[in-house]
Amino acid sequence: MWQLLNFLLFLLVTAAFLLMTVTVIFRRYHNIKLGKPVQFAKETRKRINAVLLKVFGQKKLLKDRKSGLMHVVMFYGFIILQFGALDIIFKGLTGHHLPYPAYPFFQLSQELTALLVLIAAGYAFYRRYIEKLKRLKRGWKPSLVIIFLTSLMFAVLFTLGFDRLRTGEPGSLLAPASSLIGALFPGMTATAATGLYYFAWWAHLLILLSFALYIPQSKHFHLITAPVNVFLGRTGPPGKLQPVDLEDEQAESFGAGRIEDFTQKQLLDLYACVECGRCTSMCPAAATGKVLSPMHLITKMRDHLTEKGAAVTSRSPWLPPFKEENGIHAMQMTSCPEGTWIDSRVTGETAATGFTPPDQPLSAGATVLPGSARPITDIAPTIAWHQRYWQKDEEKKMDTVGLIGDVITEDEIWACTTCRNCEDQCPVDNEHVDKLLDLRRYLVLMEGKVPQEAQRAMQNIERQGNPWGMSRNDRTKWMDGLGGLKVPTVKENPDFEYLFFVGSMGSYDNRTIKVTRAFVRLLNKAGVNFAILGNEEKNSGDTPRRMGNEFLFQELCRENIATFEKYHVRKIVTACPHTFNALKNEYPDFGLKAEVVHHTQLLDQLIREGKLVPEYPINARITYHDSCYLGRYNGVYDPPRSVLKAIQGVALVEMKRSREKAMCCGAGGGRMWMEEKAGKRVNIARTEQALEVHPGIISSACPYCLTMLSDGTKMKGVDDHVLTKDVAEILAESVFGPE
Amino acid sequence: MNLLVCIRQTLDTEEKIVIENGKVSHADAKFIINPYDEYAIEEALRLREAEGGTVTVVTAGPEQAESALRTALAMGADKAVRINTSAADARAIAALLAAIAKKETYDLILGGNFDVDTGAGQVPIRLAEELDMPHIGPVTNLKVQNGRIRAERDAEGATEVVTCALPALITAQQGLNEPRYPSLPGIMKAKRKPIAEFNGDELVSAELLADTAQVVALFAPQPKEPGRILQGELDDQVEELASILRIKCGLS
Repeated sequence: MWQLLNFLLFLLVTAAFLLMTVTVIFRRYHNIKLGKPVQFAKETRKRINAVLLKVFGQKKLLKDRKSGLMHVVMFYGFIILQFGALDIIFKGLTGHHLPYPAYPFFQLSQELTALLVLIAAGYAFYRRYIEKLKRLKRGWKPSLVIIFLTSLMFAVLFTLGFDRLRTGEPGSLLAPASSLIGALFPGMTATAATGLYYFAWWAHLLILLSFALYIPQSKHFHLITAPVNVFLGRTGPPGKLQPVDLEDEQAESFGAGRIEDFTQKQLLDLYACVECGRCTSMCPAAATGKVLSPMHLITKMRDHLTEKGAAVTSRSPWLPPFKEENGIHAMQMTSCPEGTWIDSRVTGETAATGFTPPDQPLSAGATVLPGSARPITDIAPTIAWHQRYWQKDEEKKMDTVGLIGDVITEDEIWACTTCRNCEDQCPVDNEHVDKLLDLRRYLVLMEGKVPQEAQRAMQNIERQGNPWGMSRNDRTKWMDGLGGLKVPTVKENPDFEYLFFVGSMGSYDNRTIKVTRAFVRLLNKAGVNFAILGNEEKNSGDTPRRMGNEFLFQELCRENIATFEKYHVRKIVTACPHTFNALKNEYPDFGLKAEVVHHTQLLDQLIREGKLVPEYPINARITYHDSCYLGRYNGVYDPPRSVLKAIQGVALVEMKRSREKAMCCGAGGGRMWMEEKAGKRVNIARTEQALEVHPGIISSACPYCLTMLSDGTKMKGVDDHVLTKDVAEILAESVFGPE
Repeated sequence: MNLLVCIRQTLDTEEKIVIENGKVSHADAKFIINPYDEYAIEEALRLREAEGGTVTVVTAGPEQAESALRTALAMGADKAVRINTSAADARAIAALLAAIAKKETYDLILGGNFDVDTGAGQVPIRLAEELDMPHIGPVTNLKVQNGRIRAERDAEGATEVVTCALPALITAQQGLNEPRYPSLPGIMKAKRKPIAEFNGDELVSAELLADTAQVVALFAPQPKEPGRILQGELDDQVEELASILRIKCGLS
């Protein structure tokens, strides 16, 4: 009788909870469907590999060893305990356990896992509330999951313990926890034990079901969405932007001006976010007091999507509906040009001469100059800024809240350097950069809203093919200082093997011209059959594209491709990672078929083939700064290092943040051409990170990085003893000897 | 408000000027809207956005000048007029523009302070004269209130505040505004907007179109000698500087 009643009650409660759970999941699924449909590349093998590596291998989580380990325990613990949960439920209903093989060992696995999960939950508490990692939010909400997990684990163990008492099963070493609990209550009557058993059993069931219902309504939705998100992630080159079909007559709008303008995959990203803050902790903008925080970019858009979905369907996304929801989220501050650092004058010169750091303690990710308490980077002010200003606004209605402005401010949109450090870190494979780019595309293409300096750069590129607007007929002027060396154009040497795409920086920028000259001297020495386009070369279009001007990019791209075809270009080498990335990964969408290499790759190859011999030793301590577009975008980490290592006397030292973790110089994403007024300058922060390892030379392989770092050393007043050089320049010095 | 903006197409300021057979060679050159005229367009668009009305842009020039009008339309101008003419004299251009301006009633006419290529700045002022209209220039700040304008004008290092009744003409100075970047829908729409065309010789008499000024000679400026940084002991540097000033600059 009791068993039947218990069973019916179980059915009723479980059905009610599951129905609510399915409903809230479905409502979010409906929200995702508000986005534009996407075509996924059919690369199932790659996708399965990604899931194996990133979901089951937890590869990206382990980028933070400590938190990663905790998560591995949680992840596998969760899977293992599901079998136990079924067993507990089944036994409570029928009195028999499930027919698992080697049952005692199964029990042992359950109890040990439960204990491990308890330890992991304790460590999670420690990380968040005692160690106080800056990237983690505090407050009561994030602690819910710890409470859920802890109480669930206790419910499991107590159910097992009382079951042992109820049935009089003797203690066993294979069930240490439940045996111990049994031993805590000696002489308990079977009736009392049975009552407590059912109490614990129901507690276990209710906690489990509530947790299941809570998951889709919280950031823990990632339990379901993250694996799907990883599976559906991009399979091509990372950071490659989707071309916009500008000829589409049906298109009412380009870029993203409303949340529905994003693709369904982009919206899935929003629900996959678990707010771990790893993106923000690596973001050069967030770390230097800009208002952009990649985590808040995602979570704010997620809140907005959920609210918009609710408005569209007039169904609450929350179950059970505890309270009437009033107002919708909107930024309470929509412009913050001075940034989020308390001492907002921490720009340029003041950073060199010293400043008072903000009052907050250092963030765990912040690096400190030796012998000084001054933080190089600090994400805390930006996180605090978002927490303060992302609030429910009772005055606002859905149709008066704009995605751009009220949810994501223009300052945030333009602060991104597109360095992809956030994406590299994200354990659930979210893509932040393309979302910011879609917002930029909307601003530029639809509204013509661009920061003034950016507009000037684009106009100059339109008119003269370079961001300064210098005469396009002066593109080859850099050759004037070459001495007797001859650099042939494609007309003069039609049978060239490599086209050297000099790029705007390499052609016009006085500092970069020196790199160009060093590189052609090396090409010449190695006997490489090469040519340049001369004045027919145009800006690669990376700058306009990263500023959201897809129109101008496509124009430049098509013109450059036409020029390449005219001269039968098959191989291209360039000394600029941005050009390299554009030509290699993005031009193929518009028909380019050519092998594209970066100059460090070619130089590395020429050394290995013995065509370049670094004869003269260079006795210097050199650190290499990874360019984002070379490293994270294209995985080229080793060639520049190999070139440096091939030189006698060079002591190569790595910065704390190098390779995948390398911080951006601050110039990517068109930021090179925009002013940086908010917070501290990124290039100063990066220079400080380089100075931590006491280099004699800071080397790089990108004209933007070189500019930013040499400005950085000047602002820090160390440029007389810390040199900044391109890898090609250092190699040239070793090949040709000191001048 | 009914607004008329007079614009002119010029060579891109960064374009290399090549002189062939005594004339500036335009082959393969890039053309832009005279930057000062761009400020005028932007100001007109802002006034329209605030007050309502229409913005008409007008230019006098060859067919190639149409692209300047398209850019102005892409920025948001409503109508465009091109006067087909090869006349270059300020008197002739002002007369032609006046003929267009008289076809409708305009509350405010805007133009650029001067042309970046020729350095000439007579046209808008002559136009105001032709129309018997007050003019203010060069304007760095403009407000419209109750049928009057209040303009701040550059007065050789000082700022003068001038008010006057409409209709009037103003010329735009740098600092008046930051011209907008045309949006893609703007560019697309601009492609379809019609451009009204008039022949110069049908608007004014041939006598008015004749050149009154003559170009006597045209030559490129001498290339600048590279700068020098004096080195050595301070006293020697002073000595050297003094000798350079004496010899090269004829100071003694």
